[in-house]
Amino acid sequence: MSILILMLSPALSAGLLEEPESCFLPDFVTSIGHSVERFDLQRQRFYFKKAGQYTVSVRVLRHEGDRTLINEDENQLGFAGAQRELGVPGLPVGTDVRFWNQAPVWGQWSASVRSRRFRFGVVVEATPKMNAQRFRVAPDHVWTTEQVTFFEAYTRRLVARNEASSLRSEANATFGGANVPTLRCPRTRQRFGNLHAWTRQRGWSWTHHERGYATLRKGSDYAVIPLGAQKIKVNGTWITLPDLVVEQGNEWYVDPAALTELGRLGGD
Amino acid sequence: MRSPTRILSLIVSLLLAFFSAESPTQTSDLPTWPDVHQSQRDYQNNLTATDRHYFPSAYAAVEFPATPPVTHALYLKGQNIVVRVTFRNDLWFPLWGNLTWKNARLRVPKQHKDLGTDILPLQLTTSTMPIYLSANGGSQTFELTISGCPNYVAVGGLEVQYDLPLTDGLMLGDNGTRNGYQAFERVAFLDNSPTGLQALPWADLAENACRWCFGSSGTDEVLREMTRGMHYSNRNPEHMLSYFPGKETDECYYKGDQDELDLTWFLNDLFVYLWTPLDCREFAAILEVSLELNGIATTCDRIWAHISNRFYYWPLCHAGMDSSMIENYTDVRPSDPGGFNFHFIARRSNLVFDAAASYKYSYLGLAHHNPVWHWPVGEHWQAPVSNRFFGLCYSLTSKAVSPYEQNQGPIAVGRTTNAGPTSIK
Repeated sequence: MSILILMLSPALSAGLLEEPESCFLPDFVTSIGHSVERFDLQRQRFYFKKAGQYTVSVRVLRHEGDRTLINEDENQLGFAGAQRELGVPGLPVGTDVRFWNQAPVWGQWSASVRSRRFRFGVVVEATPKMNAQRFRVAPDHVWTTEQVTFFEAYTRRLVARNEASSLRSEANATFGGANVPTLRCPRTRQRFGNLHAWTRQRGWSWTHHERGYATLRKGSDYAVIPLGAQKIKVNGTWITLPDLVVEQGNEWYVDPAALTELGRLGGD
Repeated sequence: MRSPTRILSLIVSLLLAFFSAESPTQTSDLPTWPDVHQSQRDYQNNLTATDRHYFPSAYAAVEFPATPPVTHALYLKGQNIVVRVTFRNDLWFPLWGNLTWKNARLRVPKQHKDLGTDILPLQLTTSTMPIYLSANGGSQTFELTISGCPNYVAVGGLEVQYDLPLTDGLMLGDNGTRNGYQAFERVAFLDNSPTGLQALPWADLAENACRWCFGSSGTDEVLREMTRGMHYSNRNPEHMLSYFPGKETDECYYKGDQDELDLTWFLNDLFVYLWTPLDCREFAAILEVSLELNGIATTCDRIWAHISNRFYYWPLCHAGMDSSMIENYTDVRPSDPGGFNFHFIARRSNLVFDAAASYKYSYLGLAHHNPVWHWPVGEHWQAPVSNRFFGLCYSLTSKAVSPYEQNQGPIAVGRTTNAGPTSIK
């Protein structure tokens, strides 16, 4: 089935929209096998195609009124409910994600993501099927596994990159036994250490998952690092961090507490 | 006396033309003279028009050639098409012969949502006229009058058949259409002189609006068929409309805060996409301008929910879905996604028209299964049932409410050149 995925990117709740272009994440979208099909100037929307099967379109919200899409509609299908009902896998911890049926008769479904600093909406729209009389017929299903996977990966990166967009580079620092580049939030003074540099020095391996998280391994130890989340899972136990796992320049950064925790593990 | 160079060039030209000649079924085996062509088509007595590429300017006086191309000539129903056709010779020697107009026809879209076209024969007086085209750009203009045009709203591609044997005194050539037809511009026939926001009519809107109400004539019939045809995307199976109340604000063609219908954007989408979703306000606004294109003035009204924030509404089938199938009717509760707290309709005097949805019940409570045309403005549009107000018809027991907010239609049509609309108020 061909589908159209319509992404609605961050309309910052504080009215901020620091890097509208970054919301499209074209590098990420193309990195998972899509090609840029066209750009709709009028709608400020990128269209991506994957193997001729579906098109992903990404757009930026520009008007306050568009937040009606992600309002607190009383009939939103809560994320927990969606997980139970649809088997949706985990999305960034610390974000409030809701799915609801925007217009099931039209084959359009929406989700909203709200983090501490911004929120955005996602609309997944099925390319309408037609009967012999060229009338539209309702699509078969809501939120395919492929759609949800894309949504999760996109959401993680959108959250992670936007959270990192205001961070500033600082001098290297040593966390968990490795000296790594750091970022700091100028407002909260919160610090982040470069996870890639840390794992290189400490000999951990990476396995990236298409849903937007990575599994680190060293010997018998492992850690699950969900991009954009406020938790990491270390040897089966979730640990809550002071801040999110963020991404800047294709490098992942985590709170020093995460590096300290990993540093305690020998991996032997 | 002819120079050897000229004779050689002529032979080469004719050989080239011979090998590029069309199918062997043509009546004439004569080659076509190269560099003899129609250089101008100038329609007469047609309406001054524009389109999304020209607006706010009007079309150039001469339809062909023009940049951007002028795609349509607009006439009132039943009017003769008169077009002055100029032939031009860019060869370096003169040509002469006879021009005979033979046939004309209109290639119209098939009925309902059938793909393809039908032929609508038109009439012209067959006449043979001498033609002389002097060398190096010589031209001659002929006026062609086509009668028997539809006495109802229609649109189609004008096609003309003619003979044009030409000679230079030595060789014979044939620049006519032979058994085939030449496609001229598209022609739309309107019911009446355009008015309101379409006082300067848009030809690209006419291409669609005249499909929607193709075959109708007279105010009442055009009102009905425009409403019904827009709902069912009549004769427009590759560019259909759907009703989608949940459109995002900045996807709307009708900018509420500017009272401006972005007709350019709408038509751009309509000509590109298989489906163009519209909300109720857009349906009403585009219905209004489509009727104004045919000289019928209407207004858009907003019907507000009588109480609470949203309608409980009687079952509706959104435009685009098959309204003959009962399962496509939904009765949305106020809290349901897609529920709404107002609706837009088009109104003429005390009659209401709604192309956005098919109504399961008429206002009398009978099975209807069609969009709304010629329904009276009345108290039945909202009615209390078991202490709840149900909206959009079907009630004989309601008390009078005043949900109408009148004259909410666009006060301008406009175009956009970039992300935001440009007001032309």
